Amino acid sequence: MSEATAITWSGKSEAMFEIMLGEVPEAMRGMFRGKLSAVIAQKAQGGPAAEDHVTAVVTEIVPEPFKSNILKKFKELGDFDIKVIDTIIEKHGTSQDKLMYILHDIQDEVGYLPVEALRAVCNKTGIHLSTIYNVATFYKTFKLTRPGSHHVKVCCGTACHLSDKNGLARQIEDKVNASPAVSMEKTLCMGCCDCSPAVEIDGRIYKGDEAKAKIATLA
Amino acid sequence: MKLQTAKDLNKAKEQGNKTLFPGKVRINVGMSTCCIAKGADMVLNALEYGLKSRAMDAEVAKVGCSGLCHMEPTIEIQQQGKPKIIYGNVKDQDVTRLLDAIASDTVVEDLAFARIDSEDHALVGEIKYQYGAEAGAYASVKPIGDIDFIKAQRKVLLRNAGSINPENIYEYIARGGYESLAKALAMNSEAIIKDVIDSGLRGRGGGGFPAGLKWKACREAAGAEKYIICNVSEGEPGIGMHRSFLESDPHSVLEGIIIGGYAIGASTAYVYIRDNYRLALKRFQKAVDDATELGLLGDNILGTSFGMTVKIKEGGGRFVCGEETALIACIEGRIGEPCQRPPFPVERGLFGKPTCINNVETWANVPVILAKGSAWFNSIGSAKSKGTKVLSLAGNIARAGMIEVAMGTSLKDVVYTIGGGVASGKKLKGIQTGGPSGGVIPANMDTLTVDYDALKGAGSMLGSGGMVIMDEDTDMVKVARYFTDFFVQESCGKCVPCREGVCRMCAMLDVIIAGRGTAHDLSLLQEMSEPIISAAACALGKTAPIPVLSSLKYFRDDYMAYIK
Ligand SMILES: Cc1cc2nc3c(=O)[nH]c(=O)nc-3n(C[C@H](O)[C@H](O)[C@H](O)COP(=O)(O)O)c2cc1C
Ligand code: FES
Repeated sequence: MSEATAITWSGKSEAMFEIMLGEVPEAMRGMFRGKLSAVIAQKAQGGPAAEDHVTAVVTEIVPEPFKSNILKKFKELGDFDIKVIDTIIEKHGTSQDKLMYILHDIQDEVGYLPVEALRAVCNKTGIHLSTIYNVATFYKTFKLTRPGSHHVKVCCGTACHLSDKNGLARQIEDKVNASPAVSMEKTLCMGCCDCSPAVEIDGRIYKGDEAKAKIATLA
Repeated sequence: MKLQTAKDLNKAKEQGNKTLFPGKVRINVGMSTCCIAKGADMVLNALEYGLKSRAMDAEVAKVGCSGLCHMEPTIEIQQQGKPKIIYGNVKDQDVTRLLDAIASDTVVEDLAFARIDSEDHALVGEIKYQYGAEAGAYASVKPIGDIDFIKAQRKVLLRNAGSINPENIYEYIARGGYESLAKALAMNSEAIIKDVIDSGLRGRGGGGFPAGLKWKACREAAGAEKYIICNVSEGEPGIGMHRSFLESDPHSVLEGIIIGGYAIGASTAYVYIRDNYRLALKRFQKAVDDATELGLLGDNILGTSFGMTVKIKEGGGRFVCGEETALIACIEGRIGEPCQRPPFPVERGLFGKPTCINNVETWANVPVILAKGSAWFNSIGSAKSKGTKVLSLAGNIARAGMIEVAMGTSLKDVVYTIGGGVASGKKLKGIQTGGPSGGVIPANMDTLTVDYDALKGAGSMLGSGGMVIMDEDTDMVKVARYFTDFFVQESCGKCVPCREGVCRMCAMLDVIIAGRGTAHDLSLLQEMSEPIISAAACALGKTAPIPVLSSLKYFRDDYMAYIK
């Protein structure tokens, strides 16, 4: 870890570096981290490590099939800046009781929890990746995949379930499945039972048919 | 400005009264999540635009939910010296008419719901809106005291909801706020705890454990460092009043927590707010910041040597995190799996230190008890359940929303007088109380009262106070299946009886619903419930079979209809 921190990263290079390490078996990751970061530091020649440097290391050193896997993941890499994680961790601290605060903030910032962000949290806080993953998957509020540009939450609480006589939840599900820009999740009671069946669309709660009309405009 | 002594509260009070009675028209716009869902933000926009374009001078306050959820968006207009008028079902296009009415000093009859000449506030007593030469104004609008929906309620905890700006600490202080804290800081902790014990206050989170005894145990537990937790988990489906609570009057909860901290000897409190309650979180954070700025939180509260910090913890959307040990795990950054009790949190809780966990509503009761005295509190309610209870009415009911009644009010009054009966005009079949762990009370038992022991005796529970009204078309087998499935989803999976047993029960219900069930299955369901109830590790598992058991008991006919 100490060798890795000697590098300054620019752009998405750190996230890419973490993706690269993600392909290495966990037991050997520490060793590879030191070695690979040294190679990158050499390429960067004292300056900040750029995205090209990481890509170069992958193409030159990493064997197949890992190479194509990693390069494919680079293409899918979200456009978030891994520096936000530094700021967030600095704000909260590194003890385990801060973990959920950190994850909440990352999700607010990035929209979801990319795997490379979880790895970066592991690196910087020293909390085991398995623990972080455990927490991130146990709590339903955390999303591990990128939500659509519109996000719909359908309430599955008692009042909404009972008042949804026309299968609204079903219809919304079908509609959402048909349009890639919209994602959906089912939630516990939203605390707005007098609007039942309640549907939250992009942070605003709508009642039954209004929701349907609204979703029709999104898809 | 830091308030140094209890006397300084008076200065803050004056400041609050400046906006509560601004010497010009004051307009309260309900801006809780429930109001916004019905378009209150659009009304507010129209209102602000209208005021600006007409160059009208008015004090516009974004208030919380007043409980009139069935007629939101609501607006209250208070002209100086005149009765306050409540308007319901206001649309943005109505704003012009309302502004015309303000300018000409009249009312918009078709939107007006009620007239408030004066109100009887639980802490400060009578608040007069109508005074001086203006007596008899707006006589055409029904006085609020004549409306059954209001008359049958008793507003103690919701005393400020919908009439003060929740983001303005001065308005809370003007309504008697933080006086109880000042009073408490002048008492010793034993006396405060004795007051809470004498009041008969029981935990509002479901269990109904006497709050004072819990405080006492935590106070007496060994260790210098102690914690307080306020539980705003509210994962229970069918309720929303705790969200409303924090959105409408966050300081009442905060004041209770600070008093509790002083009495118990805790200097840190965590407020656990479930995710999704963004507005509640924001308003509560604002309340904490404002209180800190005024010296009501932080070091040397009101000039004394007592200091306290309040931290907010956002939850993760799991029902089980409402359970106290799971909640502690969640605050510690672990997954919310309940642990074996004892040791109870009052001995070994958060970070291994003695911890006192109470529900939001329990905390909000504390300032009232100190202000009015334990005898006053004890005089409200039934034999063993004291005070008032905030309930959330939902489901097939004419007037859904958040209400507050004295303990001991009959379910009949709650459903018919306050709730207006079944919305579809059909017959009532049952009232689901206590969330998934509760049961459905059949319609013929509506003489039961809002009381921990009465509902428990009927095989349900009061829970956090959510009531879902079901009409005669409701299929109770499907309802039981819904709740059982809920437990399957929400079980943390740690203990076998809950993880496997409840899953099997759900599968059997599926078989019955598919028409392939036999009478034997019904007795099997009953039989399976027993080991789950006795062997599950936490109360989630222990209560998971209740929906099935209670529906088997009261609605067996529904099951028989599936069984040939
Ligand atoms: C599965 C489960 C869910 C619970 N959910 C809540 C909840 O949402 N809110 C709450 O205040 N208490 C909830 N409780 C009760 C708490 O464990 C705890 O008893 C309560 O917060 C204590 O506060 P009180 O004494 O003021 O009632 C839940 C308990 C269980 C077993
Ligand atoms: S049950 Fe859907 S908002 Fe409460």
